[in-house]
Amino acid sequence: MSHEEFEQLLPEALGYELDPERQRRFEKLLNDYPDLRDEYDRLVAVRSRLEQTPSAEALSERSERKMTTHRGGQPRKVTAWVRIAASWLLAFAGGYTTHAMFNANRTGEVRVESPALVSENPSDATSQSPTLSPPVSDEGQTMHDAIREARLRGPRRSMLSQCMVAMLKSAGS
Amino acid sequence: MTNDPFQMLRNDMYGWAFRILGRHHDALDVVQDVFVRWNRHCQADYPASPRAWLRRVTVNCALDAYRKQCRTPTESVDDWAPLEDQRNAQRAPTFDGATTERHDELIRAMAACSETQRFVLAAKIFDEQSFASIARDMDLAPSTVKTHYVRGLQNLRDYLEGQS
Repeated sequence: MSHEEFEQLLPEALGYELDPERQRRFEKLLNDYPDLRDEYDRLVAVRSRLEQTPSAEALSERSERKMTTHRGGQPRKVTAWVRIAASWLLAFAGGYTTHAMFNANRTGEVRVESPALVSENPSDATSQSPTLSPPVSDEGQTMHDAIREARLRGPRRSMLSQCMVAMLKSAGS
Repeated sequence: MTNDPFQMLRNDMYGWAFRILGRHHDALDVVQDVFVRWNRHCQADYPASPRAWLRRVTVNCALDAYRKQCRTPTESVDDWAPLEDQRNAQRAPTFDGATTERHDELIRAMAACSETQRFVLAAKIFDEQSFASIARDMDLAPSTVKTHYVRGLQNLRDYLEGQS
């Protein structure tokens, strides 16, 4: 009788569908009959293995955790004002670059505002015009050289515009 | 808001396929494959229980995909020798070497069960359905479903204990 009852209760026990009363009876059977306990434990182990197959939730949680870790624990939020500021900045940089290119092509000169290139001799400084002749670029000047040259010419001027001017000069010479 | 069962259950299908395959891209491939079958099947015969239909087809497609990744895809499941290096390269980050081996054993054991037992196991364990619900989906008596469930677990246990 006990084994028949075990067979009856086993599917619901393995399927988490035993009500409390039947659960008590089932546990009593397991306590009274070690062979039934062994059978039940082995089936529970198999069920647990199936339950422990990797779930998609675990993967997505892990990915999410990884992403937030890379962001210093805080999800990155791009607010509206950041987007507006970025678009204004891009528009300004684009306009300034176009303007610088246009001026360079028209005058063939580059105005340098950086004090780094102004002679340290005060007499020279007074005699010299702030407008310097454009640097003579070697033929085959690389972008690296152009950037270096632009840095030397003044940090206050847009790096991009200086590079573009220097490259145009190089192409023209 | 769509009423298409496929769209509503897409995440669940991905989860079922992922449990069997353990790899993101393979699970997505299975969902895509099921989508094609779903559209084809719906035109001919709309299933009474779309969830049950989609679950059954997803599990079968995932097991088929698993078979395709093995060196000898036919004859016996015992002959399946997974291409470990190729598969491990694509594994989900939740897998380490030992877990992969245990998972492969389990999936081979599951593939060795009958289709009805697989269906009940997937519905009960992967989809957490009640016996009554599964019985309705399969148009069977609940007692029959319970029997399939226990026999499925016993088959898995015998297969796994035979391997070790």
